[in-house]
Amino acid sequence: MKALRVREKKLLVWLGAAVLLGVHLILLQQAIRLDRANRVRMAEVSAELAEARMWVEGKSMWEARMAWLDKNLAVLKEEKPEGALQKLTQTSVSKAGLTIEGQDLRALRQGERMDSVANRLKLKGNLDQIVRWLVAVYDPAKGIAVTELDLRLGPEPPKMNAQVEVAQFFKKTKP
Amino acid sequence: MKSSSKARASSAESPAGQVFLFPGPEGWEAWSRTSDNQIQCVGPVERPAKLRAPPGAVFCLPCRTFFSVPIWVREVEGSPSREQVGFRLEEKGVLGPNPENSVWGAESIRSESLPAADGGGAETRQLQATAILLPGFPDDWLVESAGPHEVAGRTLPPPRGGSGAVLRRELGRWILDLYVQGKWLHSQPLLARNLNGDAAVELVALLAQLEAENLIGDLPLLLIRDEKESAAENGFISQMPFPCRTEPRMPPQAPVHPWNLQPPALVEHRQAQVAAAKRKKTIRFALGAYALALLLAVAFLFYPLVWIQIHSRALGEIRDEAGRIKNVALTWQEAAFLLDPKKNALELLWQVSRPLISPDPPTMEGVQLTTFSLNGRRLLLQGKATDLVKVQAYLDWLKNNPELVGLTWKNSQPRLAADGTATFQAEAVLPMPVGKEGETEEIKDEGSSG
Repeated sequence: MKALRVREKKLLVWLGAAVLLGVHLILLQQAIRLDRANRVRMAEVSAELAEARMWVEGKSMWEARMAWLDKNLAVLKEEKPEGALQKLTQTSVSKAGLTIEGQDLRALRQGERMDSVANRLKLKGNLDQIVRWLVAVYDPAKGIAVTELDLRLGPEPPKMNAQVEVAQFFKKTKP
Repeated sequence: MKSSSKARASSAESPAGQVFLFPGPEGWEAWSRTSDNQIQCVGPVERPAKLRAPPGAVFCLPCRTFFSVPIWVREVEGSPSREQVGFRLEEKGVLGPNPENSVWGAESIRSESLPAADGGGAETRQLQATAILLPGFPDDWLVESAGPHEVAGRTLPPPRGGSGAVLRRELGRWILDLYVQGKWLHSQPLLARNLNGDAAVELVALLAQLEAENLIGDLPLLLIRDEKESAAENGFISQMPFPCRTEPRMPPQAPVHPWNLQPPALVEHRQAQVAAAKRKKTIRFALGAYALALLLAVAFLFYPLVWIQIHSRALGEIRDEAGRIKNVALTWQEAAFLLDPKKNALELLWQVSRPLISPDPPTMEGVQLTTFSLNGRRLLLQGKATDLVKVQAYLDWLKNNPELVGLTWKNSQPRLAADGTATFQAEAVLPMPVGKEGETEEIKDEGSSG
């Protein structure tokens, strides 16, 4: 084989260096891509871990609340629970001396973790009667709460117009 | 003479004193003393480098590497003898075309007076032993670690009495070393390969020539230093016209006045080696830096992977529990109307009405709420007051009431009626118990549009 000249050897060295540089650039590009993906994943894991730690730190508080919900919220047994709620609200409204101008019974709403039924009422009466009725109807132990309240001073003060949504919550049965 | 032993390079003891790389009869030898003061000779080997001499070893120059010229030079007052010797050698043309760069050594052997010239004073001349290093020192014989380079004959002891000739074999050839008054004068290789009649004739002729040049006087003794007794067997000794005897080889020793005739090739070789070592060091440094950079890059790349691995393990340990608790929190969010004071209609109605109807805080006279509208996401209040100051006081109270912390209030500019009374509106976004930022934003937007 013919021996290479100095110039040819130099060219060969430069060619080798260029190939080596190219390989390094490709590797660098891949490394940067990999690192970027890893850093994103790192941030995700970091956020996930921080959130998980936050939940675990509040474990005692949330367990106490879950215990309360387990204890006080009933599991839905009746086929049409809205009827019972309607009856209860109507009775309490009558007892409070308020006038029902209209009502809208909402069908069972299935939430992700709880089910609820609601009765939307249009009432008329003075503030004292309305407040007393609100106190009477609000019963957390039975899962009953006022979810919406729109109270406006009527054209004949101290008469007031109220739009109230009373809802009853039920514990969802585990699938 | 001390006892000496021959050893192979691998089995030799480590030398205790100076080491001599000597051209022996068959090849290169390393002479040294052991720790118990025994003389040790390692070799022979083909090349001196194979002897792995320690740094500073004396390299004994074989006859074929230098040109030995014993010369007479006149003593000139005020001129060093070396300068005179240099002139004389240059005259003889033995310093080559570039005398300044030639390597040579000289030593004064003896002086003698010259007959006075006409009208002049008495003059003296000196016999100088000189050796000029020949160009083309064999690369095979270069030993980079070697120290002083001395003529081999100068490292050997002269015959007893200080003067005489010594025949020795050097790398397969017979060499005649001449000593005068205990100093080396000349080394001459013989043409004859064996000590026989031809060698005897050549030797007698050579000595006669030297005698004729007044370099040596009557030869008191010819010593044959060799391990073999071949000289006596061939009747060589019997043919000598002067006293002749054999004796064992003698170990080399450092000359009193060293010459150190280092071949220029060695200097170049050393410079090349230094440059190569420097280049090697640079390449090593570059490779080291490259390896370090690669290592750092790998560490940089692997850090997130390790981090993810470690934290994923930590996450895996609490993920199930955290998920269960989160589920509880979301359940609580759905049931917030039951328990959360911030979503409880009665509680909120009481808190916003408190300064208007209760003595704690002191009742704000002249402010009246006309609308209280609450849904799951926002609370809207509308009212009127006797003047703007009271409206502002009420709105400030709403914002600063610790019981209403968590509600984000915003209110439009109160409207002033012609009779001086003012109407106002305030709206608050209810807090989300479980962080769903997107949901909160949605609520805010809806609240502001309402």
